[in-house]
This record gives sequence, C-alpha cells and structure tokens, in this order.
Amino acid sequence: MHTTIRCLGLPKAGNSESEYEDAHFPFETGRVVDSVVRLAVGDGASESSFSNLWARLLVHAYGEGRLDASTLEHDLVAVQTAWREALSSRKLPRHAAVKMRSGAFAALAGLTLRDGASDGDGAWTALAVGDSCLFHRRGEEILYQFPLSDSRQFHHAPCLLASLAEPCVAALAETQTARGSFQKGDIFYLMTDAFACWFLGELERGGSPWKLVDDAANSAAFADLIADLRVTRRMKNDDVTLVRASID
Amino acid sequence: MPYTAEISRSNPSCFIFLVDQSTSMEEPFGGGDGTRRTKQAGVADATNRLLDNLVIKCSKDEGIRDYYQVSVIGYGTRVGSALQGSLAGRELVPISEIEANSRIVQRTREVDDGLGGLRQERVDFPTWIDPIASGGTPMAEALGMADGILRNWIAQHPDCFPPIVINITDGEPNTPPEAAAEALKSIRSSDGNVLLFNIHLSSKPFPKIEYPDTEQFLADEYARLLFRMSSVLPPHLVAELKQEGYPVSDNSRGFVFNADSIALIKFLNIGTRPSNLR
Repeated sequence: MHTTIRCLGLPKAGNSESEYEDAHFPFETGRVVDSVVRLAVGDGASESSFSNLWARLLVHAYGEGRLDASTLEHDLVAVQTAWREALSSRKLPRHAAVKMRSGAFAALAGLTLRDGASDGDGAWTALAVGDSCLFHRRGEEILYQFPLSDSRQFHHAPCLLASLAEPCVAALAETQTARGSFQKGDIFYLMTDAFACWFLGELERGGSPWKLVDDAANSAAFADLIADLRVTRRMKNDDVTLVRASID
Repeated sequence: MPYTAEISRSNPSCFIFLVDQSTSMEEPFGGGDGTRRTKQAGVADATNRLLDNLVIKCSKDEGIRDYYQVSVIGYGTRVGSALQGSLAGRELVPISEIEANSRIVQRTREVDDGLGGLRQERVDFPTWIDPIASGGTPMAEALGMADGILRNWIAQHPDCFPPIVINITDGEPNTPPEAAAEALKSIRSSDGNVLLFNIHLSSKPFPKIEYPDTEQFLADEYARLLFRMSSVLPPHLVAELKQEGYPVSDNSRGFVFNADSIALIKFLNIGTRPSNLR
C-alpha cells in the first residue's frame, strides 16, 4: 500500500508555537509504503495543564500500535504512567502542582489502514474519544464521517481521555469505533475539532470543503486558509491540526 | 449569542470581588460545619478560595496566563481595595500578579486515612485578604466603585467576555443598593451585560441554597434583596451546572445562600473544558 500523508498544524491565533496543544502522528509529511499505516490526531484540552504532552503521548502510542480499541483501558495505563514520569522530576509552583493533580485531558482520533488482497484496496478501522474527527472521501463524495456527524454536536465540554485513571473511566465508556473498506484514490482526513466543525458545517451547506483543504498543500497555504477562516469567523480560534492521507 | 466571547490574553476579561467588612461580620456564621466561625472569617475564606480557583484556572504549563484582571474591593469603615501587602491600594491587578503576591498560610484538614478513619493533613492555603469587621455596610458605594472601574474597563475592552462581579456579604446594607446594582448590570460589552452574582453568608442556621430561580424559599428580606439584585445565569452556565447535577432552570440566578460559588468560576470557559474534569 502506498500512502501519501500530509500533516499540518497551527496554534491558536495569539499563541506561540510552544503553546500548541494539538498533536499528530506521523510527525512529518511524507510517503509511506507499508501493509499497515496508522494515523492519529490529538487535541489537548486548554483547561488542563500539560495536555500537549498528554496529546503527544496518545498519538505516538496509537501510531506505534500500542493503543487498541479492544484493550484501550489496559493500553492506556502505560501512556498514563509515561505522562506522570515525564513530569515527576519537574519542580512545579503550587498552582501548577494543584492543577496537575486534576490530570491532563485530550481528544483522540486514530485511523489504521490495512492492505487488502488487491493493489490499493484494503480495510480501515478507527477509534475516537472526544471531538476530533475522521472523514473518508471518494471522488466528490464524503463516504463516512466519524465520530460526529452534525456540526451542532461540537461544544465546549466533550468527554476526553484523561492522564489519570479515575476521570478516564467516563471517557472510556464513550469510546467509539468504526470500520470500513477503502480503494485506490480514496482520501482520509483527520482533524481536530475547530477545523472539523467548519468542514462538517460546509458539508451541511452542500459545499465541497475538501477542495480548499486539498489546495492548502503546504504550511504557508494552510496558514493562509486558517487565517482566512478565523478572520471571517467561519471557524473558532483554536489550535488546528490536519492529517490527510491519500491511497496512491 | 451573548456570553460566548473568547477569553484570552489578547482579549482578557475582568473579575471584581466586593467583600463585606462591616461590624456585623463579627457575628457567627450560621451555615457550614457547625463550628462557630465568624462571618468575617467565612467571607475572607470564600474570597481567598475564589481567587485561588481563578489563579489555578489560569495556570498553564509555563506559568499563569493573564486571562483576567482582578479587583478586590472591601466595604466597611471605608470602601477601597482590600488587597494587602505589595498589592495594597491596587484597583485592578493581572491574575499573574495576584498569584505572585499570595501569602501562604498553613491550614489543617481531615482526609480519609484509608483505614476507615480520618487523619489530619496540613495544606498550604494562599491568602490575599484577612478577616476584617469594622464600620457600616456601604454596599451601594462598593457597587458604585465597581461601576466606575468597569466603565473604564469596557471602554478599553469593548469585545471582552462580560466582567463578573461577585459580592460576598451578610446582606445588611446601610442604604438601598438596588439602583447601584441595576446601573452596574446595565454596563455591557459587545458580548453581553456585566454579571452580578451574590454570595450571602448569613448568621441564620439555614441550609445552603444554590442558584435559585425564585425568592419564595429564601430565609429573610436580605436574602430576597440579594436574589433580586443577582443576574440571571447565562445559558452556558445553566447547562454546565445542570450537567454537574445542580437543580437549575433557565431563570436561575447567580445567588447562593450559606454556600460557596466555586462552580461559577469552574464553569467559565477559557477553552475546552472536559466534562470529566473535576
């Protein structure tokens, strides 16, 4: 299977690069030839601290095949431990230490593509917790949107994967999975919430938002697109992340 | 839709705490844990806890982000900034400076010892104001001072999330404060009117009441007065409180009786707040 992967991310307007709390896997744009390809986006919650670290650990674990929907609760323990250990040696001020005790939170959407019997065909599986989304396009049609299917479903308080076991229980109960098949020429988009909300809204209005997304093929073009969507208030000001994968 | 403006460092909002420091605050507090704490201690604790929750809300990996500027106005013998130490006399202070100028005191609390009993644990409690009980209750003047601060603030931040004023009192004002409260609530940014919430700490040993939508069951005339002065909660706060299990309605007001109001700060949306964050 030949897959061309494009990864793009931008912090919220007004924030620095170091304050970007989304994450994606893989880390860089490129072309992959493999029988299994894993992609993921994560969105650290701005109300929690060290959520960027948590989001990065989650997408990394998913990308390396260490997070499986069927064993998610068990698999998360190692990621939660990694988050704790990464912070254990840091000397934190009181306010940061108090906040850290509430844990970090992040949305996760992961997609796994597996080679099928014939060239370019295959099967996909996906898991999602929270409001990061997957879109599967074939030609001029979006075949599947997951886990949200209505732009009104986006709100400020999604249930998210937590770096602590106790608050994570509720999120595990809301984990969603999906599966399907793909063929040569299909395109998958993974997006964090603000971008996904705009994309879904455009689809609801009968638009073809993938044309704008596909045209934004590099960092500069992507930055122009996002700036325009923000300035015209078509998209809320938030970190934005896209992973686009085309089956070649 | 009102009350949806982004709260960020480039578009900060504002909090004003009005703290009753009148002589009547020497009386014992009727609610709470049965200890005979005075209302002045209850008011100081409530204010310090609210400030600490605001600090923690603005805490991020690298430090405190200035999402808010804060004013703490005391009213008793005088009406003016109740902040002490290096912040004394300051009218409006960025939340990062509030954090940097706390005084940590040691408190003791009881925690589960894991063996079916309780053990005592020492905790750091940040404080910014001390208990004071002196003079009358010039609530209307305090509301007027907040009015002046917020008119200047809105002129400089016309698109901010509407400022929030939290008045913590035993509710026995010298002069009728309703007109000053209405004037304060009429101030508005492009995102909505200033919100006035009231925390009523009473000597009467009645159970706590949180975010009522009617004055019918309130204990006395002061509680009813403060209820009427309080803003109706914005829809997103009602939704969040409902999700948290509070029995609120669309007409619920930002008023609590013999209770804290940490939830009001908890549910302010700076960004994504996970529903499973406690």
